[in-house]
Amino acid sequence: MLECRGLGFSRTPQQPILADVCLQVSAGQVLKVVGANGSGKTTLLKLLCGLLPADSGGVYWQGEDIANAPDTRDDFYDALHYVGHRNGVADALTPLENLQAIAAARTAPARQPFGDALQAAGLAAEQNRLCETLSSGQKRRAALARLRAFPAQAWVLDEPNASLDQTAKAMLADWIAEHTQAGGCAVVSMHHRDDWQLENAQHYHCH
Amino acid sequence: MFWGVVRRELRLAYRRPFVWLTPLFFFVLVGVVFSIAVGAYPSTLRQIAIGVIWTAALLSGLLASDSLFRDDFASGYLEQAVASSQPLFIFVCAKVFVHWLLTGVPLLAATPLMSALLNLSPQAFPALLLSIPFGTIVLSLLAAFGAALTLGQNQALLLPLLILPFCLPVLIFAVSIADSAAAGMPLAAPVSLLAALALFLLTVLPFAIASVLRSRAGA
Repeated sequence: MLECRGLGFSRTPQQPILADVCLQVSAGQVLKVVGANGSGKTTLLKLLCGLLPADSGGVYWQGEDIANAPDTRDDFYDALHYVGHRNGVADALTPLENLQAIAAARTAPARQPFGDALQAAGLAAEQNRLCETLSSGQKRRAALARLRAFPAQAWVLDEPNASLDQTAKAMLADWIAEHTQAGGCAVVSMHHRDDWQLENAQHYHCH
Repeated sequence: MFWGVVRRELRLAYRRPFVWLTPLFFFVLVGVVFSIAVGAYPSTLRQIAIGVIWTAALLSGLLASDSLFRDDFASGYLEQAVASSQPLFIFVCAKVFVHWLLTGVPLLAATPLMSALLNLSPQAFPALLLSIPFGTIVLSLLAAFGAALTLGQNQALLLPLLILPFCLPVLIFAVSIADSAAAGMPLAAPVSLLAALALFLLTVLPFAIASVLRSRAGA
């Protein structure tokens, strides 16, 4: 479904961050990207999403290079949810308004009403409070609510566990399981492969 | 995409009014200071009024341009706009439109006050009103281009240095419109030149800004 071949990236020529990375995630699979701080997990995930230009190699969606044709790239972005460290949530908006802002950037119609998505994320009572008044865990839930609100086959989640409590971690693991059972795929970064038990998971180690 | 982003931007502007009220306040403040400083010489004030108004418009526009993409970059909304099948230039057009709505249109509303403060000649006033919408569109587009190019650079001086030279034609055409009016000459030529500049940049720059943003969003 989503794969990369020979992917390389460096900020300075002397110190490559990633070299010759080959990965593949098929429908129904989870790929854990594992590594210490600064090992290049976030860089790899951004490369996979086409948010950084790779020095070498390419990213392939359904077998086609996303950098080759705008059409392939748009097909991929139609099917992609990326939740990074900068998770796209504006502090001066409420969780509900943030979902409406995400809707502006998506082509497919919402899968369920935004109120239901926020309720699933445990933010029913907070959906009309400004995000600057929420805790960092609640903001992360507000960002993750888009996984419920909009359909997408590929989820790329950068340390989604950060600042989540046990309940929210279990909730997200359920969402990922449900997503892969429905034929989706997920790439999830974390520090250690045993940090989080996910079904059908392989792992890739960043050095 | 367009109206969704416009709605988001207007909501953000409503929650953070000082982002767009500060440049407007600055604009009027320049007029007040000039009218006090040169107020003893009403004829001199009348001669320089157009130049002062456009200088103030230019500098106040620069004040508001710095933050154009910065907050979206920091919050990650820019990444969401880039990793989207919706065309990125539509996002850019929506951002520029709201920027113009919040910096250009208030200037238009403040122009009668500025004209009174600076003792502008009555013949030049309609010409000034005519030139402000076109001129501020160009300024908003250039500000967005500069803001995209300097995204993530953390150098506050780079943006004005970068776009100021490109703003000078606006200043020259806009001032010549009002000067022609004050001298009783026809306005068609300078107005069409400024409108042509605005139209040209409107068709070209959104694509350029979008491609710069695409290369910067994940950095």
